[in-house]
Amino acid sequence: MVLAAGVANDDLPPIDEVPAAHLAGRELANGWRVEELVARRKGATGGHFSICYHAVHTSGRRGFLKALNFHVAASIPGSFADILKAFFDSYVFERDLLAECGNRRLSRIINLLDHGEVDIPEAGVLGRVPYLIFEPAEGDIREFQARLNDFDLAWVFRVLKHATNGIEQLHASHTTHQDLKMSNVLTMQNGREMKLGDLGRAERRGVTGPTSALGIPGALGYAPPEQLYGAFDYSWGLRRAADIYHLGSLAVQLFTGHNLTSLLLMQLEPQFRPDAWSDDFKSVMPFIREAHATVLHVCGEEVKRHCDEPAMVNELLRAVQEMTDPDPSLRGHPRDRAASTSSYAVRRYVSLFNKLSAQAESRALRAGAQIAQTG
Amino acid sequence: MGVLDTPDAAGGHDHLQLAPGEIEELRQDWERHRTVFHAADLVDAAFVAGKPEVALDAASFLSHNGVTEISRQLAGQILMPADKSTTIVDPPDIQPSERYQRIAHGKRHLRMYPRDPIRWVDLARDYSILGQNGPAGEALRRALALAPDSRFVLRSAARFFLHTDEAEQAHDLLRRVTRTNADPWLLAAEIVAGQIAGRTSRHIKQGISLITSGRHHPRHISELAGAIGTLEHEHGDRRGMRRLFSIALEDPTENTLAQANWMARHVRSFERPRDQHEVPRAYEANAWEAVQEGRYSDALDLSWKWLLDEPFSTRPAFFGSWVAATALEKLETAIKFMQVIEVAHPTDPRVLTQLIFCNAALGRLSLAEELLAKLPLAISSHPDAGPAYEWEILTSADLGLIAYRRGQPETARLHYRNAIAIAQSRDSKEAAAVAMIYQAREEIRAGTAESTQFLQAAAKVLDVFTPSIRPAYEALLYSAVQVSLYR
Repeated sequence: MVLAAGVANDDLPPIDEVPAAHLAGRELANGWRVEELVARRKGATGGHFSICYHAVHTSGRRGFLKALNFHVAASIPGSFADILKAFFDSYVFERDLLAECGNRRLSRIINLLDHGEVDIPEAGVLGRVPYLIFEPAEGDIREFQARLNDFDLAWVFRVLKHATNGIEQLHASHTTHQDLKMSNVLTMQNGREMKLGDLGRAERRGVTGPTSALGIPGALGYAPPEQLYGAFDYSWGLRRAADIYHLGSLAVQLFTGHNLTSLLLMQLEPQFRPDAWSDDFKSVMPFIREAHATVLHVCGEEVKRHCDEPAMVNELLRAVQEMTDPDPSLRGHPRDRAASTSSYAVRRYVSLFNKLSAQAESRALRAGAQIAQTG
Repeated sequence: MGVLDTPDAAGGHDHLQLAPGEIEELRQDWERHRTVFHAADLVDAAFVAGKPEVALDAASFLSHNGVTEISRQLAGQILMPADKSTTIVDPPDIQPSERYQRIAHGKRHLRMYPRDPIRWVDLARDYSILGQNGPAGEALRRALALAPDSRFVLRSAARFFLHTDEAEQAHDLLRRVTRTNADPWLLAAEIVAGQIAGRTSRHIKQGISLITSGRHHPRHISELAGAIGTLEHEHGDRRGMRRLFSIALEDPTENTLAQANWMARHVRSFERPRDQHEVPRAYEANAWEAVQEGRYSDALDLSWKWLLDEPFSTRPAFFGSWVAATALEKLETAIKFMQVIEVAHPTDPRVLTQLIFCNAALGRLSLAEELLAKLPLAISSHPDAGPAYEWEILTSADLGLIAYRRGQPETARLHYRNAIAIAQSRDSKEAAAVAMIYQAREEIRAGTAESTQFLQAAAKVLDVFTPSIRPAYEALLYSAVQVSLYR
């Protein structure tokens, strides 16, 4: 059996407890073969909702396989049947949504190559594992940014352009991502192309999904203020507003290393933080706005460290300010806010990041040429 | 901002739940990659989720390897989490020159982020401290437009109007807000503003119902109970006043404590609250307590803190100056207090008269006389300066002090006699007693043959003072006697 480097057979949980951890080396339908496990940590595979592998097609095409580990439901407190149902609902939701994205040819969303179920006879009666096979990515943008020796302004703007474009494509398909974060922006072609992954917490307009009823549909650590303070009304508008906030937060994180939500909470006095505040969202807004302004100022200083062109700095900061306004009714581009039908449109930001990325690339090229000449 | 605007007891935070596997995935990513980006991601999630223990190693890594200052700060919050209840720090000591810098910085900030109401309030506060009430009012109007329902903004604006003697405007502002009726903090402010404006709040019944409903934590109804309790005192209902103050003092704010201490100074059988040191920023109450217990240096220190906490208010400066001049005879310090508020109140006759007294007592007689010459104009330009006879008492006493220091005891006695006679004719026992005490001190200082008689007469009038302020005058007389004994 082929395992990930450093993962011995003994490290795997028993096959009847976690059959999804025993797919390496198996042949799947449609010509796919499962290769080594993508291990995160020795002996940790049993506690995951999904277990990942490399996969290869008979055509030579490579893939990234995510196997659903529904056996983990047994270890979660609560009704086994309910948890199991939630697992399968999530899986089916994500699978169908990804298939839909594929049909619509959404170029900035990770491509689902195949899906199916594989029988594991050794695992007993519950020995069937559903899986999804994606186009392979190099990793997420955190990994790529860590590999860069210097801050690459052009690449950062490129990430923002591609991520915003991904959100735009989803919104146009009546879908909100709801969980945009660094680990869900995947890199391809040596970091030149980015796509959005993990639609497990997405929402489709008019369809009740696994996170439709959640007050915070995505990660708590990245949640926008209206969700943290219980003012999220589950409306379609506020779901799109959250996606825009996440995009602005991504920009903040690319420059400061930290997402906007944590920086906002750090600036707030403890009594105004969500876990202590029990008055309404409107009442805490002045304090969030104060924290927001301070964070953007700090972020601005970081941007200036990496970009000496004031016009570019100002354009970026203005966009981040609009995209992350703590009041969701004031979020988004002012010209789009004026139109009730497109309040949370992101097209203008795609164009802006495209322009900034081109400017940064051209400046980097000119600087490189100058060094070459003087050298 | 501090505990004043803390909301009601926490509740309804069930939605603040981590997504399944949210922390575990970040933790495993961090363990696998060990980069600042993965460390920062884990630290962020741990901080927002209030689980610092899951990111200690990542925070430690960031504190050493973090590339930005904010990274190190955030790591610091994970490694040394702050107290969750409140963050109380002593007010910063800001010099007038820094105040101008703060204004310039605030204006720059607001050009970038004009929707930040707290910064507009901060700007208003800085202007107000410098006596620039026009721009201060304008800044507050901007803050109110941005956050018309904000408790903090409304209370700040009302406080500003009270300090600019626009009590009616403060009251109008608070009573027009729909929220006031249901918010004990706003209701307390509305009742106090109404009281100062000479109006009666229409919400007293509602206030009592909020106090007795049992729905609010004692801290949140403390100021409301204190405000209505003070009204009951004015209406002569002592039982009602005591009942409400006992509720107000269950978990008091610094404002309630100050109110209760005022009550203790004016109502004989009303006891001063205990354990007031536990209340953050209760500088006023603690300063009064320090005087009563004879800890004058502490009182001075607390007066500075009180002044820094309420820099637009004149009360802490007058109190500190009084302690310094009376109990400690630190006249330069007494002048410093006046110089702080002189920036915003350059023509205030009360400031002027305190400067006259201190300079005369320091022997700067020409300066004292120069200032004395300016006093009539300052009084006439302040219609709210108080009754004319009070100024006559003060002016006569100041002339008496200057005459004593010029070595003219007979002239001095005439002036003091005049001051005491006016005070007695107006039944102003305290003013008469103060004049007698200072005259006795000057007689002792001059070593006159009649000094013992003056001292005996002054010692007899000490009883007219409330227990809160008597020790300061006792200290003054005691110090005068000590000086004469060692001469």
